[in-house]
Amino acid sequence: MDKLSFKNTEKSILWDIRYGDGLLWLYKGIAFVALFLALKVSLLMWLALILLFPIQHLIRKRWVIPRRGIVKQRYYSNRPKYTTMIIIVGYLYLMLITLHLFSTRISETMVKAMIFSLYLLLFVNWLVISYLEWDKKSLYPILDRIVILFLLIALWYIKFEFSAFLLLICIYGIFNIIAGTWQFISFIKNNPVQAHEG
Amino acid sequence: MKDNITLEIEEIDRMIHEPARLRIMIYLSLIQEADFTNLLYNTKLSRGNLSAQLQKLEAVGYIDINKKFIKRIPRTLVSITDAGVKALRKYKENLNRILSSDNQESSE
Repeated sequence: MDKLSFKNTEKSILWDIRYGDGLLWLYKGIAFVALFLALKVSLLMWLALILLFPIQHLIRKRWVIPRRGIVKQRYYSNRPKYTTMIIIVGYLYLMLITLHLFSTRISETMVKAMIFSLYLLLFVNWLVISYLEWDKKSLYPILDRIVILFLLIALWYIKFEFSAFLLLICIYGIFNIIAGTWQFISFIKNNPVQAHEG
Repeated sequence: MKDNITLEIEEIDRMIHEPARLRIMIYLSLIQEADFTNLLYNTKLSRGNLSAQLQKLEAVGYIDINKKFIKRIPRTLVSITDAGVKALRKYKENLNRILSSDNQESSE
């Protein structure tokens, strides 16, 4: 008999804590649609992402915590509260200040490249982390990779034309919004609100 | 005289070996802290059963239970203690030893 392993159980538990409510996929989708709008319409559209933080807080408070309760993860336990939010907002402000101060020297294309590089970094990071954390049961990582592959093939066929590339980013965002919403609705349906203690 | 495997089985921590408590201990070992609602969600135990199992684990010092008011809502926050982490690790090791010795005997 092989060595008894608790690893699969542990992976399932951690996967459920992080992705069980589908909100991360939903936010990821919104972030990609915002990138599409920022690059296609106006850079200011990207600032709308700041609204995501209070909305996220509200969704958690209204729908997630009454069903799943509160859990403090071990990995993030030493990290001060709202660190991620501060980093992203800080990055946004840094970009705005840079734009304002060096508007004659820094072109909009360069700013777009900055935003895009940030996304690329986060995206690769996401792919690696989500693969390592995958519980081997959820279909999302498989679908995610199929969609990425499909989009890369499409990108090859459209000969890397920028406007079509932006459309593919938007499609990827919409895919994540659909997957996240689907997961969130299943989470709401399958988990009734728990009565308060005491 | 007791054989090795019997001795090893006797070393199994019965406090952890019970399925509901094992589920609680494994879950708590992966996180820093969870409230009662979260434990209900994850262990799928009834309120009464969960409460009873938590009391037993607290009595032997494997978990800490703190009652707090968070935004005017009473919350019972539960976390695993160092003794709990050590006991769970030892439990896993013992179980693995028993299973591997059982495997050796059956292959001989």
